[in-house]
Amino acid sequence: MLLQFHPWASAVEAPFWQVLTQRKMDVFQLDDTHKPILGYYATGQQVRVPGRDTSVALPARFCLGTGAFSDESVSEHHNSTSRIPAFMFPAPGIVKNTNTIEDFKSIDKTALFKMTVDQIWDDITSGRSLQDPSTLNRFLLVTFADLKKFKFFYWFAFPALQADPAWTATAMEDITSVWSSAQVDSLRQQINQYRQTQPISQSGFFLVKETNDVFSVARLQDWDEFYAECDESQVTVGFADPSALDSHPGWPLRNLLALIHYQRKMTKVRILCFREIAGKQDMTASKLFTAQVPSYVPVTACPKAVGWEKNAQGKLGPRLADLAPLMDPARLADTAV
Amino acid sequence: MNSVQNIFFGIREYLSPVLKNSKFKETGCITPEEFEAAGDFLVYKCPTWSWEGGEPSKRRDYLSPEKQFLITRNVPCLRRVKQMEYTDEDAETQIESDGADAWVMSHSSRVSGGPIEEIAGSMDEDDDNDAEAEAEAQAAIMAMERMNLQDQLRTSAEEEDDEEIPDMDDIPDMDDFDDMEEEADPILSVRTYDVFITYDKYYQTPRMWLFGYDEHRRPLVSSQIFEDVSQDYAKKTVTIETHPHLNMSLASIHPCRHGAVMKKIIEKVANDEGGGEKEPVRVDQYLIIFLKFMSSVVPTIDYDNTISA
Repeated sequence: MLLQFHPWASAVEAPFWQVLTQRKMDVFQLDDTHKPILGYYATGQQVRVPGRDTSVALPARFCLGTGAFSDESVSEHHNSTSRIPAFMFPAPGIVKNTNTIEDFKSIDKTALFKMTVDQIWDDITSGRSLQDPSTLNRFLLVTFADLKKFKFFYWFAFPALQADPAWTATAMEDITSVWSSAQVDSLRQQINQYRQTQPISQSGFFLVKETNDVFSVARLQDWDEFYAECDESQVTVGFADPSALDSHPGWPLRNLLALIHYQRKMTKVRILCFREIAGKQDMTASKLFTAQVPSYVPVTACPKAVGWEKNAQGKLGPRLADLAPLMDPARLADTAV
Repeated sequence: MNSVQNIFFGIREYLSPVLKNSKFKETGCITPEEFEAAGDFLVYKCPTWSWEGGEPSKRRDYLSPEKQFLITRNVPCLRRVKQMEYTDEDAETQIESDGADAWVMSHSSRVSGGPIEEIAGSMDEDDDNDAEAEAEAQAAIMAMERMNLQDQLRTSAEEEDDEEIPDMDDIPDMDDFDDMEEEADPILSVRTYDVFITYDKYYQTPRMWLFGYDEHRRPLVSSQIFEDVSQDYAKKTVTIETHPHLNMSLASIHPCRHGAVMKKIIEKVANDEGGGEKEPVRVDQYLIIFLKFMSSVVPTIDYDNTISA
């Protein structure tokens, strides 16, 4: 079965636009070069349908909030941990905010996209993404803020490298059908501990090892040491999976597989799709499967990539957030009590 | 008009003294310190809630800089209130029976767990119904009626907006998410809410704010938000006001009756709890109870499942 990935659904929090407006007026002004921002995501969530005995998957949301821009006044470490909410995983990206709607339309999006893809590929080949796996989630946001009308045009791209030949996958198995509930619970505690002790940039990707019923968890960069006594069949790579589907893993796995393929030259790897219910100490929704390519083909040049988001109409095109009802003083006066 | 009113609210808040001595059992009101303690307990119990500092320029100095308000994000809202059909089994319980301001617990038999439904049945009549609350409720009704009209105008304006999205030239060689076939599993696109709890210095109670997004993650307008508010409250106690820590207008459940209702609930819990063994309500449990109470106002916004039983 061809391995397919559940794409992101962007979810910008309205206060982000306010923060962007402020930055634009106070800091960037007419400077329209791209700026670093930080997005975040949670693991996939299913909800019960009221009155029926079924659950459905919620979209894999990619969020931008008020912590998207870094605050220069605090140190970098404190900064990135406090900028995203609890139980969330970081994704670094860039925002290109144009000055006019004409610029927004005519901007060379292909070049911007290529720049982000090159960065991801460079991180993979240089090994930087082993040191900081959050770079696998690099994204691009193009915006135009109409400050007079409180309208924000935007378009996300989540570049993902394409494997050639493509990965195939075994059917996804429930973690509880592979491991006992005691084992799952011990693994959950290990992952918890890993997240508490590691910087947040490490939290979304990790290695898992099971020896005699005992689980351990480590950073991607500790691969050689961690699996020193193991053969490849014992390797399990975990990632925080934003997908809640029973059949498909989420988008971050694409670049992770590219990294594993390039750095470890592996053609077969077991993947743990880590899915938790935030705050409930429950990861029983997690999935396991094995990804495989027929043979190892060395990749020498940056692969092709995909990832522009579709808009609400299902077309490749920008989205619009109209915040006039919330921010426009004139409109606010209308709704005043 | 709005700014005049905001100035009035601002002055009123400025002039009201910060509540110093705990009197939550007597009045249902809490001090900022108690709000913070209750918030800490909520975050501990339900880690999907977190503290935020908000706009630095809007910080209140009677609250810690990093603990100005509470927030939980992306709470799914699966259906509209009007889709919650009543059946014979769905009891409706009036918490207070004094006309215009009555708090009604809808579906009280359906909500599982929590002390509120047992409490609700036997609540006494509440007498301290001050004129100001009455006047505000009246003003709110009129404003809501005006607003509905505006929202209808707004909706038609928005449809035009959709067409305003500029056409972009097709981008070569990134034509699609190449390998996502027809969805095998259904993805549920639902409304989501960001829910805020702030401390209202004037009413000395917590106050809940709602920010909604539609299925395509576009901000909801107020008329859409009212679809998710129990009809008994939609036109009375839910108003659109400027969030005290963000430069934005949000729907808010007006706190004029919160103190009185919380007092009743707390008394009831204190008297009924566990039959023989009396365990008084601790003030740090205040927000947990508050959220149960709020879920009767916004029955379809499912933040309550974050609360561990």
